[in-house]
Amino acid sequence: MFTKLGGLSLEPKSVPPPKRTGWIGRGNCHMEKATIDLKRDGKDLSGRVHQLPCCVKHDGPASVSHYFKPKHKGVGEDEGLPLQEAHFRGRLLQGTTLPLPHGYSGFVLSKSSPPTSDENSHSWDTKATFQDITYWNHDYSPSQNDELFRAFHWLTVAKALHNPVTPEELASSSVTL
Amino acid sequence: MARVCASLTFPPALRFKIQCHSHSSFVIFRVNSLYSQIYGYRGKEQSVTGSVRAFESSSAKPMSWCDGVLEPRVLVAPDPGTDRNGLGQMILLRHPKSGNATQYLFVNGILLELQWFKNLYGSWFLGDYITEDGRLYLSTPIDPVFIMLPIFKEARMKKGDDLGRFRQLDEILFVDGYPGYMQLMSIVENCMQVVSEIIEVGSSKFFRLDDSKVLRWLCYKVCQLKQTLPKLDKNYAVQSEKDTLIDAVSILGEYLKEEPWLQLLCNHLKLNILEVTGKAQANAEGNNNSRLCNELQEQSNDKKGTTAKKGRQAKKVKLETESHNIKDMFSRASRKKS
Repeated sequence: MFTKLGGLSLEPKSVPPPKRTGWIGRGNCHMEKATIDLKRDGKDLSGRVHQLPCCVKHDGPASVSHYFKPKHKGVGEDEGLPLQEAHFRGRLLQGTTLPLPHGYSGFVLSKSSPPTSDENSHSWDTKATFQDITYWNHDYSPSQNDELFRAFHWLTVAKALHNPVTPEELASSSVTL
Repeated sequence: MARVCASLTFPPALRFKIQCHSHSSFVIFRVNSLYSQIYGYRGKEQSVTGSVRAFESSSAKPMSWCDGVLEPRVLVAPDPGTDRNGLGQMILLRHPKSGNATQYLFVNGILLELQWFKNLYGSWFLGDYITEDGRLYLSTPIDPVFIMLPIFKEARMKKGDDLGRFRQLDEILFVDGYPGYMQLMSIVENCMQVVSEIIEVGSSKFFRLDDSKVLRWLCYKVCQLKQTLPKLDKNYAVQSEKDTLIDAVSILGEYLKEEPWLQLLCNHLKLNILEVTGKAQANAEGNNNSRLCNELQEQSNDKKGTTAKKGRQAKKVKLETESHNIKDMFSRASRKKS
């Protein structure tokens, strides 16, 4: 049990982003001879991909669309992000939908093991695709400091860092740092 | 058919309800206390009328997209487009910084690295499908030059002041235990021109890594990052140019061995100039560097900015503390004199 505060605390802009509650690791999927098929002809789940702020101990089909019904609530308090509200287990969730950056798509992959093939070889097939992700916070509104929001910053940084450099680009640039 | 499906799904649904009931209090408690501690935010609590019943299984629906889904993964990857097929290979390569075996993705002639992101508590609703593991995989292009720098450096067999040997690609890419490098032959010839000297003998090409070209290429990368970081959000935008430069170099350092490439870059950019100005600052800088080096092993790129900020904050606090001590010393000295 915790006490409630009356108003919002104003944070100065120079305050560094809050500590993360998530972590990022390299993809050590322990796969050998694996293939992956990213195709766009699967089911389109845009608008129906939700990242919940809690663990649901279930893997499998469920009547999500019957019970989980987000409602749009205009613009939120923070930074003008579009605000949505929904309830899960009687708890209010506040969320926003993040469109995937240009040039990127979302894929729901499923492992498939061809019976005739080697046991060490796996393949991942695309079962569904999506173009946006809606993430939900419990009892605080979405902001640009949220983890998933900032995880997408990496897509922007990766483009700048890993865009191949041509000899012409290198020669024409005046590299003065 | 409906009855059979219903009876088949009844036990899982019942188990699901029991799990919800037994876990919900625990999860809610932990989430509340965790968020309160971390964010110090106590939002308005609205009273919620009514209740949400436990979900029921919908596997009775015919021909659903999630039929037969095994170990689903949620992946955000570059769009292969409609004209090209999205079939890719998972290949095992050595990480350019750590040297550890790491899985990469090779799709349509583009090399991609895989990272994952996960909140402490999270699950997915994927349409009418629930996945307990709330992990999000991110697949982003990686410049093959980073992957190839350690390989080409070893291949030239440089000794002392000798510049090393020119070698052919099939010779360079033959790495014991890592046949995946050979699959990159098609892109390596093109991308390594920018950092190598090339000699053509007949129809054969021989490559030798060139340190000055590598340094120039690294500086270009730093420039690209310096332009991109301030646009991410307001926290990056208010940083000083020096801090942005340090952030850019630390992000770049995620893909470079400290010796020789990161050291070469820092020397060129004169980022260690603080060590020259004074012992106190040198000590602080040393502590900062050692901490950053330790943390570099554990954290990935997206956290790097935060890590760098932490390091700088610690340094500033330490400097202030020392400054305070100096003032105290002067105060004591003046009192003694008087």
